[in-house]
Amino acid sequence: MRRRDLLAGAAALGVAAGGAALAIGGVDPWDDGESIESFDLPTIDVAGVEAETIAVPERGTVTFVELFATWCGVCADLMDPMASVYADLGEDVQFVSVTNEPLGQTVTEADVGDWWDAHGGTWPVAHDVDLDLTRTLGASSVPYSFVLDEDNTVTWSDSGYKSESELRAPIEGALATDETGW
Amino acid sequence: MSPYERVPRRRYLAGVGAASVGLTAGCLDVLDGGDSAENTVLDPPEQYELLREARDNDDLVYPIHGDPLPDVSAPCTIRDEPVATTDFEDKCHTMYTFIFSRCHAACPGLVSGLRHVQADAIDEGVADEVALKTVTFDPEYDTPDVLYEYGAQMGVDYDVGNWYFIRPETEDAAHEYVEEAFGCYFARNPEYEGGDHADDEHGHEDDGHGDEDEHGHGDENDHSNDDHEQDDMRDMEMAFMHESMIVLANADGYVERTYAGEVPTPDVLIDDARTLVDRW
Repeated sequence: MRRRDLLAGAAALGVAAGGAALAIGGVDPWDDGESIESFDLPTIDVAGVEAETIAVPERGTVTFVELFATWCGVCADLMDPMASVYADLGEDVQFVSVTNEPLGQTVTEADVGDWWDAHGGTWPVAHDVDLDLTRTLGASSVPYSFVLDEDNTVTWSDSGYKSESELRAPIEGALATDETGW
Repeated sequence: MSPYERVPRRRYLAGVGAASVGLTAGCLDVLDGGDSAENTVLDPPEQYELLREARDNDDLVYPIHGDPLPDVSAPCTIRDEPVATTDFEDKCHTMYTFIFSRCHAACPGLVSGLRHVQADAIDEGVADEVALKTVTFDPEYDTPDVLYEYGAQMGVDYDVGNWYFIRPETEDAAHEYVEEAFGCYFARNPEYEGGDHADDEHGHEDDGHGDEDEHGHGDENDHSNDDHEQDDMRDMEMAFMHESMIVLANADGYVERTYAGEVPTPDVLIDDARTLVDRW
């Protein structure tokens, strides 16, 4: 019965109702070409990853970064299409998943490592300890995927499940732009 | 408008920008000592004057900075006893959100946000100064056991004793608590095609799958059609439509912040909770 009031308020402010859609995904807030800084994030100990910290996003290369959490079922679903894209494009880009969960209490780094192995992850996974990357990218939900060009400018972002082709296209687009210098 | 309809970010920002134009003078008034100052310790939020005007005109149904916390009570499943919002006055600050555990869109993000605040409060040694309240509006499905397991999966730390699952006993009671008192809209989704979504781990596995082959050979129009199909599918999978809302109240029983619409990133919640604890 208060639905009408709610909508009236939301429309007057242009705040609440519009924002709600962002939580669901499909909106790209990055259309101003802003370059972001790199953050040194500790990596989680998983197979094939040796560095203790990695700079994300890495300047001078195209970066694909995914924010995820181990409680997130859609994040688990996303691992298969990500693995396929990583197999094809992993050598050409910085490919990294980042958890922003609070680790060390009920969920530990070892839990993340186990989750990672169980879901077939073969690329680096890092921990956004102080939420710096989450804050900078404005990743209000998980999974949230971003493609950044070699200048650390976000060229594509979207939340939620993505098919292999939906992930591949923006990465290939950023690589093509880098090659042609556009 | 359904909460699930997409609104272009640009339009959303344009609305905010336009709204803030007329606010400059008003903000100064607030800083000079608005009527919210005596009940709150956080600075007024952005657009406070506009929010206050809308609130005072009954155009805004949820409590904002400086409003008293709604006075409602419902059972807490963890303590197995009724808990009222007023029970926390003079004891600790409280953060509320409103969810149903079958939700696979905004709700996990809302609960995760509160979990971040809990983890930070533990790290800072102030867990007894901030209570986290997650109110379900789906009591039929969200039994005490379901809620406990849901929290465990989300990484909730039950040992510190500051996490509360609040469960109004009926959906009508949930409407009184969540929608009438807190102004957080929710409604059963008439498009919901129920079925076996009981297990949150598996209920969403058909979410967006199966359409992979349809991508990659279509033109832009085809792609946007796919998006709509995915949206429709997601709508049908959601038992409820609802507003995303988190409310932070101080230990005097006044609202300090209402985050409505977009789910805030966890750093925002942590920063505001820390500021409240520090200044109190």
